[in-house]
Amino acid sequence: MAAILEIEGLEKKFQNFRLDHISFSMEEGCIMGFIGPNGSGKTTTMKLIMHLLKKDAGSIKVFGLDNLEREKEIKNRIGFVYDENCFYEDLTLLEMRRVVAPFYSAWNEEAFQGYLARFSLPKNKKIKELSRGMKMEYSLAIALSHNAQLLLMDEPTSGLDPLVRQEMLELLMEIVQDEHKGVFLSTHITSDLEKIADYITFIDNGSIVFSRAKDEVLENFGLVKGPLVLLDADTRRLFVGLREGRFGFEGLVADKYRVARTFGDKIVIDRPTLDDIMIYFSGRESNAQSVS
Amino acid sequence: MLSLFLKDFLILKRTILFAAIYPVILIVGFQNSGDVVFVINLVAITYILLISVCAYDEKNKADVLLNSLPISRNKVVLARYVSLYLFAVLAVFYYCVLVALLGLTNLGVRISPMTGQSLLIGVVLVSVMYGIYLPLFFKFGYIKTRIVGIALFFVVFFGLGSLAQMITKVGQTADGSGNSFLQSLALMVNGLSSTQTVLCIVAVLFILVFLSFRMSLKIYRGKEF
Repeated sequence: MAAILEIEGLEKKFQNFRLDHISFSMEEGCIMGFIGPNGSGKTTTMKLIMHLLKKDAGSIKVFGLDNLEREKEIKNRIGFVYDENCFYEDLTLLEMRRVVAPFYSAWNEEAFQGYLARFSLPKNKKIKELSRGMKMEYSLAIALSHNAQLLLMDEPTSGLDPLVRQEMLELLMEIVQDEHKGVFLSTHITSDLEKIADYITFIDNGSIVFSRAKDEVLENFGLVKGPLVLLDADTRRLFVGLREGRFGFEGLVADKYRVARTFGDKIVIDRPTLDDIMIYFSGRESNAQSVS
Repeated sequence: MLSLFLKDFLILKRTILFAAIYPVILIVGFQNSGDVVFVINLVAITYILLISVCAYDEKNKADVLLNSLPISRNKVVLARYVSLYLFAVLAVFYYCVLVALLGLTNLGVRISPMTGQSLLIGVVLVSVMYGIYLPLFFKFGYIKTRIVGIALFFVVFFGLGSLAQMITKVGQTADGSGNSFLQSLALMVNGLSSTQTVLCIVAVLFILVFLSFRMSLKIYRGKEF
């Protein structure tokens, strides 16, 4: 399958933050979850892809095309959903559609009306009168009504109730049934990604920690529990992060099979959640210091 | 780009209603003020509509939306300048309609109709004011340039009036012996035919607005959202 999004050596420097030479790519026909703590660089990366921010170095290719040289063509094929409403609050849903629709060459009014009906959105209500969930659904309806091949979503599920979230996740899975489409989705709610994502890209403090298939991540990483006596200078190196208590330790390992061979049946290995992985990676320096 | 004009008019629905009442008050309230009524009407209506659309755009973080759509930054900037003159055309058209309607009634309202001279002065003021304002708006946003907008409204309005008076005065008293810039300018202006004067003014305005547009474009292209 062809790459729908390729990022290579991307850099962006701010006064207090730096996106540090990040690289990853995503194939069509899949959902990639983009995870990381607050301020790790998720929104910056999204904004760089959409050319809302200007990169300092590196390249961004969408559909194999440079995102600056072919900006208009690329944006015509991207659907975007941001964490905050970016539509005019005083316009009604239909008025806003009248503004946005003519920009897209492949606007599909039938699809748009279908989404409005599916989400039970009131056409003649002002956008400011919608609930947060409805605003998000409206953003989705707009994003999905011009035959977008790549859906970029920045924290779309934050602040939504479980029913709306579930509805959105089901819709995303429907979208990638078309193998030429893809969804790039950043979120704090990693349980959502465990349900739907094919790939996980984890960013921390402006650097990519890993970008791998979700099943591979969840299959290889392990949450290990055992007695403190097992920990020495050599075995500590096996862990991404460690928490030590009075009676034992709990730690995350990137290769649970190797750890199982090392410790045998003296430890218990559980399957970690993406939250566990994010927490251990993000806190690994402080843990390492407390361990030493 | 038509969608951008449509957007401006949709978000200005309420403001346009307010702006529609203003000229009526102006025409009735300043019956003996001659050309000034038309000029004030044109500048004020354009000011209200342009400033409002800038405010709405900033309030709704429109730049994030517009720059996520398949439209170039050049067109976003160009649309704002075109909108400005569309607002001016709307103001002129509305004034003429009002004058015509009031003329049909027997209310005894003394109306100052639009003249070529008042139209030219109005266009000069609109172009100078917003030629200065728009690059500042694109650079600093609506909130930070709010005071600038109001200040320009007064400074340009009274400042240009005074300048014109000064030129005329200097021109009337000039005996040709002086070589100050104002005297030369006054003599030059007085020596031109009215068509030549209008063409000169239009050419200067065109250059001014073009420079303003280029500056806005440069600023907006480099902006991050």
